[in-house]
Amino acid sequence: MHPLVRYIIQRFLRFLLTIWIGLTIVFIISRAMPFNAADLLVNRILSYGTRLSGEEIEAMRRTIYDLFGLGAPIHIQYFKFLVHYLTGDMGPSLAYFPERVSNIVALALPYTIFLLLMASLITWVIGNLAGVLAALSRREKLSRAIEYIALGAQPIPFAVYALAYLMLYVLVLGLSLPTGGIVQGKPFWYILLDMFNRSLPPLTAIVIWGWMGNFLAMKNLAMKIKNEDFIEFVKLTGAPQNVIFKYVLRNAFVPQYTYLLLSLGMMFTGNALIEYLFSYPGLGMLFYTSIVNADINLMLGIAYMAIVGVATATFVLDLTYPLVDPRIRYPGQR
Amino acid sequence: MSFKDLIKDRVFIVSLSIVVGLALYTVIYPAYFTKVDPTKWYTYPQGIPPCPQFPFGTTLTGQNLADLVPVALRNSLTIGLTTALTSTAIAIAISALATLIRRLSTAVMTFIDVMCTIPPLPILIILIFTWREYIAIPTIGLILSITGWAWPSRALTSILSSLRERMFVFTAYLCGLPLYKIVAKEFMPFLMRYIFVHFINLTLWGIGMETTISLFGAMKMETPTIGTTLYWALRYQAFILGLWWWYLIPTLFLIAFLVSLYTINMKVDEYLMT
Repeated sequence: MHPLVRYIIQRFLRFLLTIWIGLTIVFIISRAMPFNAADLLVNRILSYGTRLSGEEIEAMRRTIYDLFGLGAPIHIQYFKFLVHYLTGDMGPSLAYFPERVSNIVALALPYTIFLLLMASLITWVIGNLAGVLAALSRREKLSRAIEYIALGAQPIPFAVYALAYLMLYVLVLGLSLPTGGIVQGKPFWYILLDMFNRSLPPLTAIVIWGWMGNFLAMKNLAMKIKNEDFIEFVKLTGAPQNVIFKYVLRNAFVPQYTYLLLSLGMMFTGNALIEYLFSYPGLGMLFYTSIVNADINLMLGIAYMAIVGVATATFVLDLTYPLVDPRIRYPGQR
Repeated sequence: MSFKDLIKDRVFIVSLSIVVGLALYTVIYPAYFTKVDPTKWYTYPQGIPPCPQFPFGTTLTGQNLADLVPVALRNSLTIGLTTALTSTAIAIAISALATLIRRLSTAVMTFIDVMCTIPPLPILIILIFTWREYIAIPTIGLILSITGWAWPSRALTSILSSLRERMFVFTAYLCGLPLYKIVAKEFMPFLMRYIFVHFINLTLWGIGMETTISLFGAMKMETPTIGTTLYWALRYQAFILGLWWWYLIPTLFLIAFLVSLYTINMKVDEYLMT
């Protein structure tokens, strides 16, 4: 088999594995709750003041238990849960009953993936380019100063920075945040344009902060590569600065790309918080609504879709990995 | 850098004293100087700016910030430290499993990679949100370590597997040194540095995660932490009403602590590298 094909199959299997492990975790936390989501729904429906007889309540309880797949032995529950979630059936939302969780989440997911991919790619490109430049530049003072700023920012929690940026954006600069719901039923380019417009304030917030981690990692790496023999050799051949730049960048590229692939899940945390603070209609915002409404089913659906979203984004970037790493493209030269 | 240089380094001494001082402050102040339980709402007049009677001011929820801040900081630090302790322990165990037992190594490595790509926030929020009535503050740290171990164990595994192939380890092995002695004498001096760095980073991560989860409103909201304090300030519009002391003072305490901790981390790293 061609190594490239084998690589793609391997990555696809890992993609499936990620979703399976994620689903198992979601299943465990859904069954390990100190209360029962189905009972919660029954109580909530009863609290609306509907007048039902005891038998009717019992019948409703049984229907809802069936809906949630409760009452069966645990392995059958697990199997049913897997089948339901994989086919996109995540049960009804408790707060927006009887709206399906899958419908609510499906609207928000594209917004999150758009922001996540944009933010991670932009911060990654800026951070890495700046890192190589700082490592190779002759203006040591400037690159040192940037490094100290980036280092000083590392211990500050992202949540604190995000709040501070929100205050700067709204209170000091007096700019307004775009509001409104999710656009539906419009042509694709219109939705994309809306996503772009909506994502500008949260995106700038993430980019201003996010490049620094990449910058520090890249600078360290480039400093190491700069002293390697092959770069010494290129220098001795009298190559201009931009050729050396290319050599260093190309060699530091692969490990940094691996880091980008693995860090999407981590990036999701900051993304979700920023979405909620800047009222960007993605999964983070939806998650906040579900917490306020104690909507457990919606929360589980969001957790699952976040795992699927990040796994999909990782898989798509994984497919571009052979373009970056020639060791996968050219077989048998390990 | 020798040990003497380290303890003479001015930056190191200042940061160490800030960290120790703040830690002592969060323990001693609530124990001896607080008269009213700071978790109780509406025990003081609302929204008073800093003045001699209330040096840090009071909140719109009627809490005295001078009493609230040390307790909040202590709870946040407890969460961070518990996270770091348990996550580091798990990370060491998993990475040892991945390197020392060769048959398992691919499987464990794949598992670590998968756990790195799974977004931690939703899982942690659901767990803490559903269990928050039944758990204490340190348990939240334990919950955070469910996902916290993945990144450090990835780094530790690569260090361990490169260590395993080094010549001096083989020499020790061929000299007949027992396994525990190889681990203690040959591995540990190298590993200590990384374990320490990861420990501090995990503390920072735990505190950051706590703040994020609190801002979502999924923490034990009546227990003061830095995150919940910020949450209530946000809910009560302190940012728009100009109650700067409510959010700024807790944040400054937190940042002072974290920056000092990070500086210690870098200095000790410099020392352990040599």
